[in-house]
Amino acid sequence: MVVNDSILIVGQPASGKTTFIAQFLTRVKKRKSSIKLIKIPENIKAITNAIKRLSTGEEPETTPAYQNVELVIPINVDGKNIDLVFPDYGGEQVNAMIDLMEINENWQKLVTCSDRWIHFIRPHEITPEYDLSISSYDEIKTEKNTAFKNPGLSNQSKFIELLQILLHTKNKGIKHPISIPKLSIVLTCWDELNTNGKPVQVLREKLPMFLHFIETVWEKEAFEILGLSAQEFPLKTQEAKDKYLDELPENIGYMIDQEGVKDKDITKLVKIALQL
Amino acid sequence: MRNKCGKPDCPAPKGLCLEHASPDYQKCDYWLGKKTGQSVEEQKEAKKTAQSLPWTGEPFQPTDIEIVSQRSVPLIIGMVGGADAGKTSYLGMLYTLLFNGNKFKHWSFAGSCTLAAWETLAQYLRIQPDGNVAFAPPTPSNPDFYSLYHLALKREELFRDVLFVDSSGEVFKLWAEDIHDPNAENAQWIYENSNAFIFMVDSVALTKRRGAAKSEIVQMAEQLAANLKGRPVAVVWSKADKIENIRENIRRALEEDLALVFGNSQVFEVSNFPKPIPDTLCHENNPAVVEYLLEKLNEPKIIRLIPQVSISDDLLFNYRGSYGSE
Repeated sequence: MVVNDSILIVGQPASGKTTFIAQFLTRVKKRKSSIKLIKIPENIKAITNAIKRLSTGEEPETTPAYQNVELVIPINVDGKNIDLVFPDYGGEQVNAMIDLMEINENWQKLVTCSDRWIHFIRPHEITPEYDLSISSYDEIKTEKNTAFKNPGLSNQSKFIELLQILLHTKNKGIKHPISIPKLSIVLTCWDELNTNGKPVQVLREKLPMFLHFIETVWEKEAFEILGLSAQEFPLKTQEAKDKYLDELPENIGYMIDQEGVKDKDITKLVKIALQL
Repeated sequence: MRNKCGKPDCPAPKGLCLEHASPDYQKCDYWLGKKTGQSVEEQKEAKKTAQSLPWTGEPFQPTDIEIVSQRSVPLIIGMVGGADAGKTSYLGMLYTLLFNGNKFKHWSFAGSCTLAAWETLAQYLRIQPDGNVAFAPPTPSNPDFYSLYHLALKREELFRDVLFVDSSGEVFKLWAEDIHDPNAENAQWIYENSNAFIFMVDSVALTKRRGAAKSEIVQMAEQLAANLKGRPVAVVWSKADKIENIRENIRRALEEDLALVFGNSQVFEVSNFPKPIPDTLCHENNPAVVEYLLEKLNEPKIIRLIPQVSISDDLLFNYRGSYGSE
């Protein structure tokens, strides 16, 4: 089966999609990448704001919920010309899909047309739940609840549900291991984690059932777990902002490959995704 | 179709309105769309092109089974036991263990169409900020209440959709006395449609109500065994961290009775209060129950073919094909 090279980046609000795309474009423009830009994209509206903010040392803002802009970046990877299509959308749309359990036409198109998915997850934002299976108990009130509560989905279930929705929309069954679409799980804001572990270890620790699901459903060669810090540090202090102004955004940020090795070239993320 | 409030993270209509902390979400400006900045026209436009997914994440009803029965023949596992025997909590713990990275020995998790439902069950095993754990309220006992929880499981090339059917212990008590009781229709549905059963024996009830609890359990077991037709049963002693409190003679008598009723069904002891961690009663035995039933269900079945011998005088009906003369 032929795999198309259109990449779909999926992620919840504030998972770092726009920051990555802005950094990606800045780098390929400056030739600070193993990937070459063939020509300047015709429309970069989707990320102008983010590029502008980064260059002044500000954190990019969250994309408005109902914004839909497609950013097409014509690039050359190892001699092959590829149009990278980054749909930039409010991450809220991803949440709405899971909450409403419905998928709109635009998303149906995005999902059916792309054979490579990059799922952005910000692990630091996931708080652990304490339950009886992990905390020992001496004294406990075992009174019955009176009302049926509805807690809303945990992050872990949301991520599983999202992949189930996308697979369903793409008409992919789970009975046989999936080879297409290729799946890259990117753990973003890696700097927040303060870890030397491999990305897969972090995912196993933070979202074990989600990893279990992927390992069951996807072919071993069709998915990978990576780390990314597109911004390298939070832009909260004046000092941090100054560093951005001094050293320029295109020199900041790194990615972590499957083996846990750090690489300053964050555009390699796309290269690795294309090699799957 | 479900709707959603425009305020980020507001759980209405499923939960309380986040803005006013009240159930009157319909009066909230966010719900009415006044504050979301998205006009009614835009909302309608977005709705028009959206396609609903076949599953919602909530528990399946019997009519929802077709969502998964198109891809495999689902295995239905019926939860049987008296009130407060721990049927719902058992399922909550099963999901909680998967959630925290525990796995079945031979089967791997391939998703679920009832994630939201599982999460609700697991919520009751979470430790609340005040340090307490409030268990699930009794499962509703109306005869038309159905609650099916789905897991997709894989074992190498083998794929299985498993549905756990929960229902109220009250209903099963009625059913144990009269399977045609109109108030126990769902119990009878579970009995007729399940491929396997988890039979819960309540250790605490046996300690407190002794002989009375035992006789109810035996009555239910006998009713369950009456028309099993080879379907496997796992006998599960719940709250087994307190099993030592049961009077020795009662425990032994019940064990003998259950062995008599269910033959060589495997017996498990489970608990939702592990100490230390990991604890065999919780981390091993809980998933082992499901695994045992799956193994039983996947055993090759002996089919006794009865060859049809023709007794017709008519040559046409006696014709066995050309190989017949070879």
